[in-house]
Amino acid sequence: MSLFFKSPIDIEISFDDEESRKHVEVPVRQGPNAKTLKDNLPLYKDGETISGVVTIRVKEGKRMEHLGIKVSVIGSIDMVKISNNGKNANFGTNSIFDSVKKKSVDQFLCLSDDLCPAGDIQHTQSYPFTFKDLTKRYESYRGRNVDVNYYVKVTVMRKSTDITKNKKFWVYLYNDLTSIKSIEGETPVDGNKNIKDLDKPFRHDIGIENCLHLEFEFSKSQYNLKEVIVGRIYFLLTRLKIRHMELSLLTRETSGLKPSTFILDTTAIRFEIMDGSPVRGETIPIRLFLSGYDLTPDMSCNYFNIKNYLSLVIVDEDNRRYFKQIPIALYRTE
Amino acid sequence: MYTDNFDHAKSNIKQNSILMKRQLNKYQLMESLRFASLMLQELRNPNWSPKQYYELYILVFDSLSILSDYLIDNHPKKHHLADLYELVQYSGNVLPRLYLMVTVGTCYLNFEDTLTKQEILKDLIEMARGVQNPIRGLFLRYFISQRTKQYLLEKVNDTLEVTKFNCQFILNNFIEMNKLWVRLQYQGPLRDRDQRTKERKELQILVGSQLVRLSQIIEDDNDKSFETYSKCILPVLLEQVNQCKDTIGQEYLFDIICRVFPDHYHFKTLKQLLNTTIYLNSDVDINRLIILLINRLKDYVNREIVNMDPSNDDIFQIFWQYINDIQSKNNDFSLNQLVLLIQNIIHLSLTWYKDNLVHIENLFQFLFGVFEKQTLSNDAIESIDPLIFQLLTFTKDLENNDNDDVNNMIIPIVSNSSFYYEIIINCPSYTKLLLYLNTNKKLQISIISTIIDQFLKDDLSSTQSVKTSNTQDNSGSWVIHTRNEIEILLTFLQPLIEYYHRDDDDSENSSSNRQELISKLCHTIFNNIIKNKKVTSFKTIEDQLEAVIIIKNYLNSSSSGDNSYHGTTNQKNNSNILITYPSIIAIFWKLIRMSNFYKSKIIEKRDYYDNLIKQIFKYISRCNNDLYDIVTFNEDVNDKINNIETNMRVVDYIFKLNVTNANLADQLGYTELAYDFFSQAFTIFEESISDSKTQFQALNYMTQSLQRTRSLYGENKEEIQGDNYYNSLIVRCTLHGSKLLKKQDQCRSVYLCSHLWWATEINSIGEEEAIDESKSSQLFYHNGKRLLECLQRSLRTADSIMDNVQCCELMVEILNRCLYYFARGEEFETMITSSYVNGLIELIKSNLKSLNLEETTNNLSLDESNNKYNDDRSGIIENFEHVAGLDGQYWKSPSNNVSPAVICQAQLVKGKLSIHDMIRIPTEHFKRTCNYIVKQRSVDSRFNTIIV
Repeated sequence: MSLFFKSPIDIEISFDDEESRKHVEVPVRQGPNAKTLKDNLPLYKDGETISGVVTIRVKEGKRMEHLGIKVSVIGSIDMVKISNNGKNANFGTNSIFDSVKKKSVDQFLCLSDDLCPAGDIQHTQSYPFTFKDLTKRYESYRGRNVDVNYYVKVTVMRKSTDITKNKKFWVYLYNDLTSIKSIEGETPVDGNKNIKDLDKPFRHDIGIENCLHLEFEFSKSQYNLKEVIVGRIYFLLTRLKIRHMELSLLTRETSGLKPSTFILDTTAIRFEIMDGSPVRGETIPIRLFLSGYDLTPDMSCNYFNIKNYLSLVIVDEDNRRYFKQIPIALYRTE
Repeated sequence: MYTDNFDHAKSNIKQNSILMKRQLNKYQLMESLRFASLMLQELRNPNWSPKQYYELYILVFDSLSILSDYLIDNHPKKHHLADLYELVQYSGNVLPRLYLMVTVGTCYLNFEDTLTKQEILKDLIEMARGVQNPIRGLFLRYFISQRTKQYLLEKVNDTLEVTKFNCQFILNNFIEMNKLWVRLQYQGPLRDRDQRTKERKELQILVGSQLVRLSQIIEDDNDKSFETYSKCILPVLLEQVNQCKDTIGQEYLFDIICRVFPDHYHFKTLKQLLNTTIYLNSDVDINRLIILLINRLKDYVNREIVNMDPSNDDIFQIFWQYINDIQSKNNDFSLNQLVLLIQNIIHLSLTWYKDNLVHIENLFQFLFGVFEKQTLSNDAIESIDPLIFQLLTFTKDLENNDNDDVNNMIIPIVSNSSFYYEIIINCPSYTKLLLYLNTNKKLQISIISTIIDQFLKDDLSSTQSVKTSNTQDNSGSWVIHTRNEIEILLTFLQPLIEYYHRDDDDSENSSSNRQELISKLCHTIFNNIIKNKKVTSFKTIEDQLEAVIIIKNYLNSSSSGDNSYHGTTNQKNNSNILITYPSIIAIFWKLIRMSNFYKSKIIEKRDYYDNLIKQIFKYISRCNNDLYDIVTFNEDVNDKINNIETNMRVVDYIFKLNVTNANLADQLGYTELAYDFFSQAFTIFEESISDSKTQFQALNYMTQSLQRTRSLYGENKEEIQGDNYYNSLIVRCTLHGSKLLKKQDQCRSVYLCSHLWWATEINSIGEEEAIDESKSSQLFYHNGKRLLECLQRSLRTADSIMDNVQCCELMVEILNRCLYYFARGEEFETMITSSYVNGLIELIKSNLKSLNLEETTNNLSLDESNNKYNDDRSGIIENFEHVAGLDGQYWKSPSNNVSPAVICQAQLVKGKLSIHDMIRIPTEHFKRTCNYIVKQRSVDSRFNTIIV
């Protein structure tokens, strides 16, 4: 197809200092080879100016008329189309239907700038652009049902079809502790959890009557992504023949508007913390470095939210699994 | 993840190890860590036995050592260990993660300051808790221990704090390992219990290695180390021993504690160690542990013996306290264990406080108390028989113990009699304890016998050594000092003295053997008294006599009846003196001889000794009567038939004792006493000797003895031919001889009695043959008339015997007597004239002729086969001559050059002799006699008158 409708021009977008800029590798969720293929995108943070150069090349000896060239920066939330009855059989499954196109449901950012008025292009031309101190509300995210995408879009308007070119970039939002609190405050997850306690060690008592009783303790309930989760587990009663115990970090993506929300859990970390069966009174240490993993911080907007959970899984000799999930807050710091 | 086939697992590890090395050579650390991690996956497999797991572990360990060498060499040029330490913690599985952490962490120890090092160590030990599986956990912690060994034993910055930290570190590791190890026993199904016990034994070395490490840390010998040990290490260890509540664990840990730490530490912390054992599980073999501990202490003491104050008995006091505690607090403590324990403490006490028998007395008293309190049943005692035996004989059965190691250290401490003696004398509880065992006679007896054996053995060897070295003071010899001591000793022997072996017991002889032991011991005691009389209270004969009488009374004590159970026992016990009294009598004889010696030396005290001797004779007489009473009493109590034979033997024996007494009295010149004894002997002969053979022998014996007497004739030489004691005795003797049942016995007895009228000199008491024949009748008792009467009487008896052969033989014997008197005395004295002799010879010749007649007729009647048989036999027989014995039995002896020396080669002929051989006997005898007469002619002309 492209042979016939071959674009008469070639648009190239490059950011300033793109080579030296930090990049983020993002797995490609869609298309073939989605598992292994990775996008390598330049990284920006909130409020950072995005500037660059758009280069438009015309085929040799050709010339092209246009109604004007426009550059815009767009941030959008894309979601898989949700059927009316709120059920999509393919949600949460890892099938070819993953490649179902996500549609933009909300463009929360759209700034445009004209690069050049209408005219024609005969030679290769470059147009610098700048979006100064650009506010980015959300962090980039590429999930199963939901994406948060940022890109710079160059549109060459013509009488016929416009020619566009997108260039994606990646956005991290860095929070300090207070901002996280505000997020938490907006959507209180656990009623009994007090904001003040977030920084303090917290304990949980869990158990199965007359079978297992343990208490675990983490140093705090919120971590930035470079931190280490430190904690310990006290076994108060064990009648189970435990084979091993794992600590997992689950990332829960909740998408869609209420009431038709969809929950999708991804195991970001699976970490064995104990081998064999302890006896009463044993203490098992937990130490989990987060920085080595690609984790998603908690986020929340109208269309979706991301939450992280620590999940304690005990597997007994008969391969039965016992687990308990505890929400923890993850946030990104610089 | 991991393979299920052991060989695959091994090859997997090897392969990954090779790959890892290859990556290391290329400086690809990340890759090599990946392979290392893969390799470590194999260690996660729960299916391996400890041995297999160990095999894999070794492979992994070697491999990780290579990795760690690389890490150390390239830090920080190619990587930083701190980063790596974090990096390896991303490993998803806990076991590989920890192995890698330990590997990296311990490498890091080489570079950092002390504080960081300690942080790393703490972290490792803390994180290792993630592995809760016993086997994997043990090996992981062992890995930590191996990897940190070098660092922990470094003596560079050896401050007290560092040492303490290191100890703490190892202790923590140890505690966790111990928990895992104990837990292994209680996990999994019950049916695999034994299997798990076995596995635990295989794994125990891993736990023990921690204690070895600890001991290495505190190795250098100074106060600081000991302080660390006593304050930081030992309490923790003992608490662990206590808390684990696991038998194998407790035994092993205590064992290891005893073994790995220096013995002088044990010496100082003994109390703590012992207290711990009180609270161990009841099925823990405490004794083995205590023995081990004691042995360790012994080593120390043996080394330090020079520096030790022997009066300082702290150690004993601790043990003493300990057994009191253990008895009061631990009700499960079995008697068996207690006995063993006390035995060990005794051994210990004997090693350290050789001369302090108070301790031993205390221990025995304690044990006695326990026995008494528990009122043991017979079975209970029987079950610990061997133990008690060992305890009371102070020996140790080396083979019985299963643990060689423990064994070789304990050697029976005691084997000399003086020790036993000291114990018996100084530890009343020892004897009490022994007497308490009276429900188990066998045990009692065997203990006593063992000790007596020792007494006898030592006595023998000491007398030998005295002979060779002439040193009176033998270190091993024991000395009886007072009468009281004798009594104590005899009380100790009481069970044996009273012991009567029942007939239904299989070893019939052992009873008398045991009593023989006592007899021997009596002699030993007496010898001891005599030998040491200068230093003891037995200075005079009288004292010694008293001692002997004490012994005698003890031997006969049961007859007093106060400790007998029932009538027959009393009787049976009494019969023991049949065996033991003779030795007492023999001792009395010795005393008499000694008294007589003093009597002759110390003129002033003549009367005193005279009385003493008489007194002793009375005691002997009492003994004889006691013995005789038993025999006669036994007959009344219609006891078993076989007693009759015994009685005969005994009666004969008493008869001989009396005769011997009489002889002794006679030799010392106590005529009355001698007569009394002789008459007593006759009484016994008349009343109790009923067997004809015995009668004959008894009379012979009597004849011999009487012939030797000297004092019975009386002081007055004139009375010599008249009526005196001697006369009445010999007449009685001859009368008895003539009244014997068998004629041949009568005949022989009477012709032997003829000697009683013809006393001869005894060289041994200095008498000489009277040169002047006429004087001899004055010196010796000669009465030719009676002599001839005897011979004639005997000849008449011989003549009346129906058996030709016997008759001839006896006549030849009588002829021999006649020739004796003919040679010794003048015809007018002996009344044996040549014509009388000639007549006798004629008589014999005619009798022999008729005998030979019988032979020829007899030969004719023999058929050929018999004849042939005879011929065959003659080849062998020819060398032998048959002779008749004094008792009428036939003997065969080599015929050629018959001399008295050859007589020992004579053999008793069993079965019937052929008539041919029988006839040869008197014939040959007569020939020999004739030869004598012919030979004698050249010496004594009177023999010419005898016609052969």
